[in-house]
Amino acid sequence: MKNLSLQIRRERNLRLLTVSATLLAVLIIVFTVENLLISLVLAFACTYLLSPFVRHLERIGLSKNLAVLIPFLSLLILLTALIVFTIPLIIQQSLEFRDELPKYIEGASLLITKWEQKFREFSPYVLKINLVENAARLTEATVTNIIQSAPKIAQQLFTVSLLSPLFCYFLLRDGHGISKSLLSIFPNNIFEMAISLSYKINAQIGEFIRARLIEAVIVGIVVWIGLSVMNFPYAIFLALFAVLMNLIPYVGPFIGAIPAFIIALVNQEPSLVIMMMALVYLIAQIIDIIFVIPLVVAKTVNLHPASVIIVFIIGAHLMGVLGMIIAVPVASVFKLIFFTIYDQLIKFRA
Amino acid sequence: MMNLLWDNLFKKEDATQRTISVLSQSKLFSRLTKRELRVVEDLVHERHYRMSEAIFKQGEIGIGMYIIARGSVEITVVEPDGETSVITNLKRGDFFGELSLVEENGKRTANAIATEDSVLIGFFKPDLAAILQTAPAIGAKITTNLAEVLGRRLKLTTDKISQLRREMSTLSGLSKADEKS
Repeated sequence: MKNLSLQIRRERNLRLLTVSATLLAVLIIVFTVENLLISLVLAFACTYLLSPFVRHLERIGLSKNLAVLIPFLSLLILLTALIVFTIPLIIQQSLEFRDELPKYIEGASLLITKWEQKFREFSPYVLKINLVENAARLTEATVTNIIQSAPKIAQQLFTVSLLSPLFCYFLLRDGHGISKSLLSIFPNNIFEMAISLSYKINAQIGEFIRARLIEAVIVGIVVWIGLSVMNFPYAIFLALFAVLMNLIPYVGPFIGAIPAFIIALVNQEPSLVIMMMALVYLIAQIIDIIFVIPLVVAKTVNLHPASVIIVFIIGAHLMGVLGMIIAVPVASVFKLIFFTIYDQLIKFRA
Repeated sequence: MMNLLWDNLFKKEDATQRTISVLSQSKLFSRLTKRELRVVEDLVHERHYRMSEAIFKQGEIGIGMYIIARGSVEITVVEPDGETSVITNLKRGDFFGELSLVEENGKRTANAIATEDSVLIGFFKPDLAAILQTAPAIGAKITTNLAEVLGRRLKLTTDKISQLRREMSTLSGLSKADEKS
């Protein structure tokens, strides 16, 4: 009997070691192989976005392959059409921006000089740094950096655009099988907890990603339409930036509006234009707060706003923009894991 | 190499057939067609247990049920005085833990221990939810069967309570008669 329980314990430990080693190996590969992390993040986002459609098609009687293929190809066609439609606009606005860049640098310098003077008048001893010189140096360094890394960014974009659809297709088709195989190596004593956790994580991340994407797209469309109607420069760039930043809860909408205000201030736009621009962002946020958040976002972010800001800063520090975007879902998964383990192991044993 | 691949392929097919056969004999999946059983087979989990290994313990949060594909399982309960009593012994084709499929954060009310090396088929709440989402017709058949099983168990429990009450009143009647005499 004693031998048997020793054998059971040995087998459990071996399985736990295998699970931990597998997860660690996956994490190391994902974080070290170039472009893999971003490709997987995009693939997971698309998978979670499409999975309700796949489930619906399966429900009406389509085979798994067909149920995956139809929404997958539809999204691919939609994205291609969107890229084809927006690329001429993006090129046109990029050329305009390139031509007007010296004007913005000069305008920004003037603006900063003005603020610097005002600040010195207010407190002559505090500000000892030369803001204009620093801002000019920073702008020059950023522009040079973008120009130098352009070929690398293009290469990364190419790799990611090939890998993420491929991963997305396989995740949609074989995701359940992959997760079932992984669950099969868990030891018997924590197997039910692992199933429960994987189900909860899947549901939570799925809801979070779908809610954030729908929300960000709605905000982006409102900003694009509003700024285009106003004839405000770089409407599409500003809308895309607002979309990207809206993926970050709480702080994202504010960061998303900053470039538009900088452009307006540098261009020395009349107060009416600045007010109208602020109104566009405000309308986008009102639509977001009144209609979108209660319908799609509520309860998907189960973190306190203060925790969100802390994990957002950690994410930004560790992985830049990608870190800011994935910080909240990753933190909510950790919270879920912690409380499930606490409920199952500690509360049960107490 | 080729032989190994073929062997593995056939082994997997054998395991699939074995699981389908076990599922078809279980009351919960009895109304399902062969094609529907294949859908369920894709979702369930085959687990292997050593003799005397616990499948679950009393008080743990349970999320589903098990069907015995091979071997046997003993269901025991730890009484408030610390004594362990055996409730039942289950064999191939029997199933247990089905109450967890419908309970929210329900705790296991008994221990389940393998009395010999056993193979069990696990069917859990997320699997039932997946079937209800992707194949509601199959989900409806399973939930109807589940309701019947739970209903029958409830009736058995009610009958047992009634019988115990009757026995208790007979006993109290006897003791009163003893006191009078």
